[in-house]
Amino acid sequence: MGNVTLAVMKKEITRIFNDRKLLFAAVILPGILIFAVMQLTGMMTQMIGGIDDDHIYEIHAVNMPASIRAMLSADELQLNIIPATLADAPRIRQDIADQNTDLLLIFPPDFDEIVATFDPATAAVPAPNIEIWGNSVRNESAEARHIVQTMINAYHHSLTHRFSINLPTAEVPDGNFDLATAGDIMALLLGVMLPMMFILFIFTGSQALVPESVAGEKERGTLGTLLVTTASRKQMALGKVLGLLFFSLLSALGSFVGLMFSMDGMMPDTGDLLDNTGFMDIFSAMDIALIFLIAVSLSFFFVALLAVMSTYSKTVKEANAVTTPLTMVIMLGAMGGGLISSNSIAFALIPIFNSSINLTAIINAELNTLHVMITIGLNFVLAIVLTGVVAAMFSSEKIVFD
Amino acid sequence: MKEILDVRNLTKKFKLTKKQQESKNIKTPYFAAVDHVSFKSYEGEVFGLLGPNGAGKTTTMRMLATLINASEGDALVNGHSIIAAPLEVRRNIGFLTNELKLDEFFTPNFHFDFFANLRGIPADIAARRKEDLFARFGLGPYADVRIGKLSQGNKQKASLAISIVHDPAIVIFDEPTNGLDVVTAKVVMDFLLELKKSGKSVILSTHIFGLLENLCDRVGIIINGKMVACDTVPNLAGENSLEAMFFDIYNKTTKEAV
Repeated sequence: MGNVTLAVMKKEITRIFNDRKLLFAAVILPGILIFAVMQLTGMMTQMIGGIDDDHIYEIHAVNMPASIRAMLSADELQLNIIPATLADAPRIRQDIADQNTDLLLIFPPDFDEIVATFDPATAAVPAPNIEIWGNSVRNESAEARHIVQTMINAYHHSLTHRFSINLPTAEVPDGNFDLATAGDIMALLLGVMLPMMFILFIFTGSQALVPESVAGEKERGTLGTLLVTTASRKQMALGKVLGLLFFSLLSALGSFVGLMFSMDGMMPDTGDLLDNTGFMDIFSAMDIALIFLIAVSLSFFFVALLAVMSTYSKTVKEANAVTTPLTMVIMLGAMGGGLISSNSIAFALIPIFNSSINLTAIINAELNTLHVMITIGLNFVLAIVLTGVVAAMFSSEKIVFD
Repeated sequence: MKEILDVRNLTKKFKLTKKQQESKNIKTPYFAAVDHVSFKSYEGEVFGLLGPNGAGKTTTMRMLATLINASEGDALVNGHSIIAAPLEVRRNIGFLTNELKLDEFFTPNFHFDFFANLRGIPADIAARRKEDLFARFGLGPYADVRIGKLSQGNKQKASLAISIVHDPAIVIFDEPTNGLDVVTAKVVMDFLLELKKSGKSVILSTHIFGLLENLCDRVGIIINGKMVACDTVPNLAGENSLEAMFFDIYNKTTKEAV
């Protein structure tokens, strides 16, 4: 690395460190904002749709047979069965409509006896019917309906079928045979969300700094002062891009830390996952090294791309206006990895999208080494080519002095 | 005296849009901001460029500083062509113009070290030169104050010191006393005289006739991109003042153009 590159890089770094407002806005604020927004979103989600873990569902039951009562009485289900009569039914339905209670079950009298003797092939009357009254607007009522219906369906299947699937057992009284661990759920969420947010954070971090540093230099008249020296344009452009890359990575890191801390508030149902499942439990050291390399190469690419656009612009305002629509393109590419899964080499040659696919693959433990190497290599090549374009633009009087 | 600058038919043409062509009433799709300008300057000489706004003085200086390319012609700066050897030209010149500024976030100290570094000046030589120049301009107390917090005068002094960090053979100053109070303007004038005495060649552009009369050995008058007169101040002015002579030439030239 040349003397000029180092000097310009040092100047860029010192410049941003000296500008506390810019440093705060570009490096620290995004992380804080992400944390605050995610916490708020989590709180709102809980306020709107959350059910307390210790909520006991009120189930009013008319003529509830012993067989069903036995099934619904397991402590884990947290159901409070309240006996009722047909005369109570209108009042209870009104309470359900008013969201004051959860569910009403109406069984025909002598349900167990009728079911025991009922033969659908010879019966002259319809099969006994169970009425389940609930209110889908009230979360507690909807959840109670789901629990009760699951249990009754299981009972129904045991009566009519030769075999059953996942009937509740003494070992699994709630019938939940899903063995997904908290870590798996977290990895699934991370696989969809993280690549997109990770790429966007890197981009927005660069976007906060590059226009100010490149177009800002033109606007303030300080770029010309640099260009009148004997310093090589290439080294000058490289120094600028590398200095900005340093802060772009810091900004991405700040956003990422904000996101990790905020997961707790964002996902109420898996609230304590991060407390129990650390980053290192999901990712190996190799995964983290590859994520880091993707981040560095992608930041380099973004900074160089934004530097080209900013050098072309006359003012910071113009540079921001030119680079803002690019956010949409970046977002589309960043979303791609979570939506499309493919090992095609062609996908590894599409910038941004390739990084998204690889981040998703790393998170899902489906890493394709060739893909990730092509992606990182391509990002670096594009960044170097674009830095060369910046250097060439620095030599263009039309671009620098017009 | 040794010839240090040889400007030969230097021309700069800018492309015009159709709208610009119509508004300027020009038939060709380009406009010659500098039109075959030629002049020479010698070691230890102060050469002044005089002309109204838009005459082509700044464009000429920008071409000499290799910031923009000449459309035609060439100039040899200490023997180096601005077209064939721009890097060598930049090594030989110091350029100061109000359009090129110092970053307001940094101090004169930082700027001096930074530009010395960019120009590859050894640290010990740069340190000695900084000490001399900062003492000469009274910048010592402000060496660690951000440029943005300095007065206009101190900003200009800092810019002057930093523009000659590499001790160039030729200094090109575009309106160096613009916007300065009389005291700081005097400091700048005295410094230009010191440069002249030390054998440096100074190319100066200014509107201030007094500055030209007191400082310049020779003056070139540029009007509408053309060098219409170039000689020593006494030869140009004769019995009149430089100002009277300028307006005389200006009126004749513009009437001819009409």
